[in-house]
Amino acid sequence: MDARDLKEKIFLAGAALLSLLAVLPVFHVLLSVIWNGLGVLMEAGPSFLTGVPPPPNGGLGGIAPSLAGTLLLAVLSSLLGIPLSLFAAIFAVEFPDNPLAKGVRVLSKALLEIPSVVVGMLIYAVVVVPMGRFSMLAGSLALAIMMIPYVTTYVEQALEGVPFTYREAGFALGLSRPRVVFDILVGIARRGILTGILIGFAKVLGETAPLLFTLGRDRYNVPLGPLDYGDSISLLIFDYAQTPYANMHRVAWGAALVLTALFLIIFLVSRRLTEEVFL
Amino acid sequence: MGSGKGAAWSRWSLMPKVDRGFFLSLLPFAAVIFAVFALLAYVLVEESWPAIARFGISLFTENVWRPSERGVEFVRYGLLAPLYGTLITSVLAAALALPLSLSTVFFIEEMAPRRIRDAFSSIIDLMAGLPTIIYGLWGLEVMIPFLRRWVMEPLHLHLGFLPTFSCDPMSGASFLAAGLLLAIMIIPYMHGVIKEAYRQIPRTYREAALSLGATRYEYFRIMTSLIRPAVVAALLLGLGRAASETVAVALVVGNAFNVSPCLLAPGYTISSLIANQFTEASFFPLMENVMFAGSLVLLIIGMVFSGVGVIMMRRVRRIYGR
Repeated sequence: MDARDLKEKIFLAGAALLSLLAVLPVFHVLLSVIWNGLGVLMEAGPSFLTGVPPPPNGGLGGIAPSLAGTLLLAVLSSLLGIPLSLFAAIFAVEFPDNPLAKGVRVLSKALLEIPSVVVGMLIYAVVVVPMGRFSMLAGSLALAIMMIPYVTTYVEQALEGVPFTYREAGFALGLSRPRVVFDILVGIARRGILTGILIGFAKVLGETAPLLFTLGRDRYNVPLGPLDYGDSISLLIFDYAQTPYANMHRVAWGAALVLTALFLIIFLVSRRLTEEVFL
Repeated sequence: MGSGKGAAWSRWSLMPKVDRGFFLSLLPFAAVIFAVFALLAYVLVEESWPAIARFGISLFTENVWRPSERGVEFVRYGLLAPLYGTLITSVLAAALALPLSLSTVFFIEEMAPRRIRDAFSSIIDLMAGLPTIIYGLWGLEVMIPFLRRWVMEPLHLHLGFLPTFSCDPMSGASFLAAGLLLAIMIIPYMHGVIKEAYRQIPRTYREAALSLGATRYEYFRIMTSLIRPAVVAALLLGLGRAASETVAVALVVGNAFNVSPCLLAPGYTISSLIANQFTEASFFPLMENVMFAGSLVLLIIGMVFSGVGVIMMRRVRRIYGR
């Protein structure tokens, strides 16, 4: 074996090892969450999903308001963000040479580069301060901004993937432009569009930073309206991980398992829908 | 691709009348996206201006954090420590993540059998999507104790004469911990950028390299040299990602105003400072403004990095004709 072969062997072993090293942590993260979280969930029982958080050093309680908050926020932000992203993407795809549409295409991706905590500060300045209160609405607005780049990317790709002949067929039938888009193109591209919606949903489910200064962190009451204070599982984990109390750290682990489970469900569904997932 | 052929209609003057209504009815949704950016620019500049006007350049070159409730003349702020922390943690993260991301791309594209390749890609997608707070909790409760016991203490003990390891790893929360956690978090992102470029290398180049009898090591060297702009882009985009990450870093970086070369010492980053102190900032004169100034800097750095990164990626696409 000469030096070149040896170099190749070392290189291949090194590349395999480094690749393994790159993905090893995520397994450890998942196992830690399951290991620590499952113990908490078993001990607390179903009331972990229906109760309110415990006092310091006082048992495990539950995370119902935060869980409800996370789900409601995901729904509310989707109601705001998905139609917006969908129509903005259609605009960008349908009028590709128009400067406004080009701008939308670039800017909707550039949203990805705004740090999530800055989105939170923006909503704090333009919604929370003028309204004089934190609210689910403010949190949802911040999350809606977060989901735009993901959803528009997927919708644009899906719509552009529809062969031009379908469009021509629609026009040949005498359909108007909007009818062609909504009745034909959206229908054909529905898988890609749905994937985009799911990815956006999964993304906002786990977000923390945009909610820090918008939601109010009321973790003892389930939010009933968009103007109520709210909480999310992610915020609860962030706060409880920083407390000095052992029982609250355990609640954080239990909450982490709930959040990870929610994320994994959506992740797996979206994997079934498409081969390539970009998050 | 529908885009090319639809082009003629998409200029207003050439647009058929029936399409103009469609255009106008979609316009409000597009306008919202423009409005977000306009608002962002306005709010950041307007809110940071009082702090910049008061402290000038020293806001970014001094390490002081002296809030006061008594009045605006008693306060003094300088963001040097969080700026330094942002720089050092994200450079550390990008430097650690680059060889790993290059390996994962080569492993997926050239080494792994199909089945393993698909599973491996799924895991990387999972890494990208996992909520950052989960990484943060794991980093705080699992990674840091391990790191402190098995990495930081030995480093301090045996290599303590180096300034980077000269300080005692107190709690373990440190620049090093933040850099490492960030590296894990940006791997999938850098992997994605490099993979996209790698797949654009034309088949003929690959065949040429192999036909000359290159070993796979030499082949890898040639392939990476062909996508060098993409590697630079991945570094820049990874740096930007790492700099903007908030909650995970806030949990592991230690949250102390510290400008020290020692990686084992606790520090701050711009975003972790905001995450920790912005809620109370309204009680102190100018503190909110200082944080807006910090986020303005963060945003500008991020936009420049990603702008250059995108240009680099365009270059790859242009070279290989796509």
